[in-house]
Amino acid sequence: MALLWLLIFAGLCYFIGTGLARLGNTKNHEDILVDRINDCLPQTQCAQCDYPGCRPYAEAIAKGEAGINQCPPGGDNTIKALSELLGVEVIALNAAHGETKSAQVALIDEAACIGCTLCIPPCPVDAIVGSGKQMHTVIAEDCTGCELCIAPCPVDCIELVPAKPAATAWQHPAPRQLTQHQS
Amino acid sequence: MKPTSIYQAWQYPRRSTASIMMQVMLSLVPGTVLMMHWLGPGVLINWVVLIAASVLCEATVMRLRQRSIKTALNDGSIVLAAWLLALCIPPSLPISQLIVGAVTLSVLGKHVYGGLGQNPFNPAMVGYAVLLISFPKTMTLWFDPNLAVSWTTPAVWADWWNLKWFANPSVAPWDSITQATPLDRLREFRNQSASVSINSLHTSPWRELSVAWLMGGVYLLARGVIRWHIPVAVLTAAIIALTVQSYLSPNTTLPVWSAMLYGGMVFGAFYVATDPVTAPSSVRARLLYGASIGLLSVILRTHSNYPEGFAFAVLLMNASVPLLDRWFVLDKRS
Amino acid sequence: MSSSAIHALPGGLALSAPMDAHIDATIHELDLQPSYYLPLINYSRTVLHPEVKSGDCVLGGEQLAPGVVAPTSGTLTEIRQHPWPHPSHTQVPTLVLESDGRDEFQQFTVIDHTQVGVEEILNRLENSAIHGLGGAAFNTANKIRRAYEHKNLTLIINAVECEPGINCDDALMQQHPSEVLQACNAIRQWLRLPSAVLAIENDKQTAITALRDDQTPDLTSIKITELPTIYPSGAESPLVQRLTGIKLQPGERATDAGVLCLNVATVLSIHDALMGQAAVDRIVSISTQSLQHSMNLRVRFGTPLKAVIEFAREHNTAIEAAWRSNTQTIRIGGPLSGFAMDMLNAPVLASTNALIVGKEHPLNEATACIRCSECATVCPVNLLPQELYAAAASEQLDTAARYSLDACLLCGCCDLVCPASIPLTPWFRFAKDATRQKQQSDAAAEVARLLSEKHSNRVQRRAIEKEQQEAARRAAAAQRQNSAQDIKAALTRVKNKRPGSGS
Repeated sequence: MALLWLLIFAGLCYFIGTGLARLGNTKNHEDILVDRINDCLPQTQCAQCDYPGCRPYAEAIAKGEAGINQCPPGGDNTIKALSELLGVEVIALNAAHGETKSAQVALIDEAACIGCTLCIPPCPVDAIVGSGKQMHTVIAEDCTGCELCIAPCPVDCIELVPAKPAATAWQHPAPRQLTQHQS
Repeated sequence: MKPTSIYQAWQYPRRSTASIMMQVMLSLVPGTVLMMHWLGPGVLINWVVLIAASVLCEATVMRLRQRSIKTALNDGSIVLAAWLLALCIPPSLPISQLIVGAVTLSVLGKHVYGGLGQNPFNPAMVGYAVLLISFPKTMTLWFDPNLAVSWTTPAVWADWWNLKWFANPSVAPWDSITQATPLDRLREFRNQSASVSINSLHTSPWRELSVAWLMGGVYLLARGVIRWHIPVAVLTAAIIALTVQSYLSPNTTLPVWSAMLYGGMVFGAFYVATDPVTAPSSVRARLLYGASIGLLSVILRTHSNYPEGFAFAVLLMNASVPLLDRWFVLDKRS
Repeated sequence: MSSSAIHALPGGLALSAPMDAHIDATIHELDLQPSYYLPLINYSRTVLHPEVKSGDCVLGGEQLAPGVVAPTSGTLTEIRQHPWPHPSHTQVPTLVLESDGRDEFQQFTVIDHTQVGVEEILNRLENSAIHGLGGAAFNTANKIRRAYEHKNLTLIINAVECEPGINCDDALMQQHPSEVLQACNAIRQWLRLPSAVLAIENDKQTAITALRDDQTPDLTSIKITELPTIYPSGAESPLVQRLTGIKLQPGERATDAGVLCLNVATVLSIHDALMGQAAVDRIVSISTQSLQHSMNLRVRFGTPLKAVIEFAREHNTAIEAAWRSNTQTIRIGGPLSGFAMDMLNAPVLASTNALIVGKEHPLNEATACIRCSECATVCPVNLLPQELYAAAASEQLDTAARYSLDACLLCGCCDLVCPASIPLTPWFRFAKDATRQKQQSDAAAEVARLLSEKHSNRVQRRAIEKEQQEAARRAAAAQRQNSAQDIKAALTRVKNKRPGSGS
């Protein structure tokens, strides 16, 4: 009798559990992992990692095809976040993919622009506006500084400038030299 | 630019870590002198050997960790910890065991966690617990204070010397005068279900020493070195627990006030539980921490194999400090 | 409000100026300067876009950029990189105004608050670039707008000035008590409040007496409330807590709780702006490092610090002596909240409430935290600085946020009492900045993620559409071919039939 109750109870648990699990998330585990990895990435979409964007790189990490040290814009912070998320060692950035730079945005020299529209399709965040034979410009707030528009420009009129003025980007430094006993 | 200040010019009276430790040591002096006077030269030997060995050990560890030895020793924290341990152990403890205590206190108590400020457990109590578990015989052996106090007779010194170096009390003709502390006797009574009379316990000098620790603690409170929450919580909880106990089994318990004064309760409440490194930070957490120590030490005193449970109570509560801190993070705000 | 209604502050320190301090409460006037420097950046470090160009001639009070007005009449010679009074020691785009010596001002109408709506008053404040003069330099119009939405508004006029070495508000109240009270009353009236509280620390007895003496019966709706001298009672959240008992949550502002705190000097400049006068100056306290000697000076915004210091040295021998013994560095702000500055051509701004002349000391090397909780005892907003420090030093910003880093006032009380001399406040400044940067970059990443998702969806959709179009075209071509064949076949059939029919 007790065994019967146990079986009934186990069966109930199984059905309720699987039902709740289906209700609770419509995504499978792989997708959730990819989302969480993607949240650690800087979303520059620069493709320096050799994948076409941040999400494809996140998918590659989730499958174990790519290392966590291929993202130059994210730099050490991204590597640290990924190592915490995935429970792997912190490793140095792979220099083959580039080096970490401070945040920058593209700027079009509007006098030199010939309106060829070649820079518009490569922009991964649609931050360049313009049409044929018309001057183009960059929406600075949306630009991630991915540099993908630089190469297509036939007249080299796009350059990268610091995203924030020095006074805005400045941070109070950590008073580490005074608290060395900590490290 | 590096952060700078004009505090120095402006002379705000800041109390340094070293001065806090000095205040605590100062308040320990009267009780320590009385203890040496009543329990004989063994206490002095313990005190000197423990402090010297701990400082040496601390310096070695700091050297190995490639940190500044001077800053580590200047704050006085290691001397204080060794001093506290010296006040908890019997005068007859052999020197080899004292050194084990000193190394445990410094290495296992502090440096395995990253040094001062990082240790979750009170170093002195870690040392005490390790000694008590490792050397239960010598750690519970106390001499009759009325017989062992002669400081001036060379023969007594020679006996002490033998005792301390050769770790064997039978070397000295002192077997006959070994005696248990009042709490040891109490436990024996309890085990035999005999009723307790105060007169059958040798209460001196434990009662007097507790008064000395109490006065030292009041001094620290008055100077603002410690805050009232933990000692008051410990003592109140212990008094309540002992009162309940004395109603439940009146024959095998001491009167509450005697029970409070004959053990290490007062010493622990003011000098051990208040160690800021291993206590929680917020007021409510401190009250709960103190009360739990008081309660646990009464429970351990009655139901464990050891006559006094304070060290284990403190260590148990040290382990729960991170939890208490987490619970009471926002208590000051709400 | 009687003194018994004052709520206790959970922490704070009883800091007072030295007993034998010589505070010169006369307000000296600084001569017109040849040039003024107006940084194009606001208190939240956002770069401002100028509404004028170099070469323009402007009148005093004329708006040059949002929140920036000309302190006098003259010519804008250039916009260039110039130091500004900020701990970053960076240079920012700055308007340089060459004074023409005539000191002419734009004419504004007098606003009668009984005739116009609040919106018009706030517009005037916006155009006159009124900023809080207490130290944080918030945009006053925005602050009032936020507060005005509340039904039960409480108005607190903040004359607490709790940090030693700052006495500009004290001087103002001693010299102009009736103007202060009139201005407070006027703002109370146009906010349609029955009363307002003027909070002042009880060590300013001269100012209190001056205010009480000038308090005519029609001004009794301004209640002068004395607070015990405890730093930092003058910071917004402790002040609100002491006077109303409302405890602000981390990140919550007083205006969110229906309390409007305005600095007393700010109230006076609001009043000036409504009376049609440009509010282009503030009073600056200049003290020696020991805080024993102090003087006050009315300075127009944009005046280089150097000119202020030179005037103070000329008129006060103690300041001159302090300057000579010093390494040409001054401190902007008070002894706890301020920062060292060695770029003396940086201008005075709304936030520059005090200058301290004297030698700065590097901070002591810290020793290990022994968790003594002395810092938690003095924290005026009930934080646990020792826990915050552990989180900040290991750069665990989430943990720091859980310990309410947001609520930290950066008052510096914990630094002062820490027995291990840990630079707690510098760590909290670091953690606050790092948190803000992290939030900004996270928000930017989220925007970029959405944009790139849109982009790649569109690219995919286009590819699919293109393929469909291709397929449709192929299908149509095939059909055309098919139908052509059908016709051919039919024709062939017809052709074949015809002769057959004939045969």
